Amino acid sequence: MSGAAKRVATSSVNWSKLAERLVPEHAAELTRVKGVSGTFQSAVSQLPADLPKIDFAALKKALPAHSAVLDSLQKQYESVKIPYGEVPAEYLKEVDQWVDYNNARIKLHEVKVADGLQEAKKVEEKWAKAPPVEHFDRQHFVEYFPAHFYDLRYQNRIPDPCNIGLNETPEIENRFKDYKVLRRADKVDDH
Amino acid sequence: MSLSRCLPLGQNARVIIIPARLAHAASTQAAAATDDAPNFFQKLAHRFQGVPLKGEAHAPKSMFEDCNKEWSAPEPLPAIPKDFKEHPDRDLVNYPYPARPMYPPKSRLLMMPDSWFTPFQKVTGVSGPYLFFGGLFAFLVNKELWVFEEQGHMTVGWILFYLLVTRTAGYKIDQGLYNGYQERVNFFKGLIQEDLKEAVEFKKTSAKQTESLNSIKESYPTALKESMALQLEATYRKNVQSVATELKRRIDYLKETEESKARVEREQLLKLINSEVDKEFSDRSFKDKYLQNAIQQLKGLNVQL
Repeated sequence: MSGAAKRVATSSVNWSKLAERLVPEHAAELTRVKGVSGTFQSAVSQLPADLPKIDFAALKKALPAHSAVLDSLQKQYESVKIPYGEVPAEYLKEVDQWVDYNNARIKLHEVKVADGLQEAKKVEEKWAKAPPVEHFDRQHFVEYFPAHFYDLRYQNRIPDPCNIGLNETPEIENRFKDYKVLRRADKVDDH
Repeated sequence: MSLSRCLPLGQNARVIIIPARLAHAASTQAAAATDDAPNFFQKLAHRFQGVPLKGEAHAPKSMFEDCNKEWSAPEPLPAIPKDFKEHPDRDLVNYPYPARPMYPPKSRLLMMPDSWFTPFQKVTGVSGPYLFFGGLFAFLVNKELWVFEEQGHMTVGWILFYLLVTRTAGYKIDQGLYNGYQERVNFFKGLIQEDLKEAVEFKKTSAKQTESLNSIKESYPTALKESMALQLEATYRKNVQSVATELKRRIDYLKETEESKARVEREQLLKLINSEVDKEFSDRSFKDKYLQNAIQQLKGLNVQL
């Protein structure tokens, strides 16, 4: 019947296993690809694969008046050649283009992972080098928890034990920059 | 025998001796008999002994439960790792890391460290250091180098007060302080874990994404090409179905032609037969001939109604 080199009747991709391994953002892509493939898969499964075989001898015996017509039909039917065709080259080229895009995406991801692992390694090394929390000295608290502790020996800030935000604005520093008492910027000293 | 001198035993004297053992046994039996229903005083005794009364799951807890108890931590502080170095050049032999001790160092008489006593101990024994420091103290007092002020005697009261507080509420104070310390340490550990959590989660997430991308790399080109091939196959099968349908239509047409022909012939034949039979019925001679025969046959049946 058909002279196709090879025919694909079912998909060789294990969709369920593939879906388990994907992250949610890639599952959306899988849904689209699977949808397209599923559409054609269902069409393929519903339609007959080959031309049915017709018993023309029995038909001739049953319909002797139309023997000539049946002969003609038989000849035509046996000479039918349904072309299978092949996938256009530009479509396959598009698949190759997508493969290149995917490789570039993977490369970018690997670069990001390398950077992230480097940062993660820094954090892990920091805490691996730290002494146990139970044996922290006072300078360790400032070093490892800077958001909660401060050291006035080398940090230029005003003690704020009640956390009213004295270090959040430069007003106090500007106010007491000049040692003179009650000095204001707009005061005129013309005595 | 010694009591016999005091008793005026004479002719008419009557002496009755009651054995104490019998009374003791009787009282013991009485006490045993009333164990299930203790009286007021027995209840008090049970309370002080910590025995639960009838109907109680356990003895009631007293406010003096934790008095005169010495507290110790359920588990010691985690030790510094032996190879821990703050800096690669740190000398751990001469300058070990100053780890926090779990308990205060040992002291004598609540005020003198034990390390003052140990150098003497191997020469003079246990009492030597006490004599030394006592003698030193006596010398200082005698020479008026250590002068007591008039309020100094109140120190004794403070010492007694300290002992009273530590012996009664010391256990609970230590326990509360330890729990508070643990909470504080757990707070810091939580901060550390939160800092590490990002690193751990990044590793997990990146590993999953890497696996996902690799799966896509393996499967998608095949899936895309197969999708196109399946489309081709679907189109081919559609064409196959079209051809089969057309052939079936032609064959069905031929069959129907034959059936129609046979049906028309049968109808024509029936029509002819019916018309001829009707024509015969209308003839009078046919009617008379066959009607008489029918009547005679009916008479011959001899039917009785």
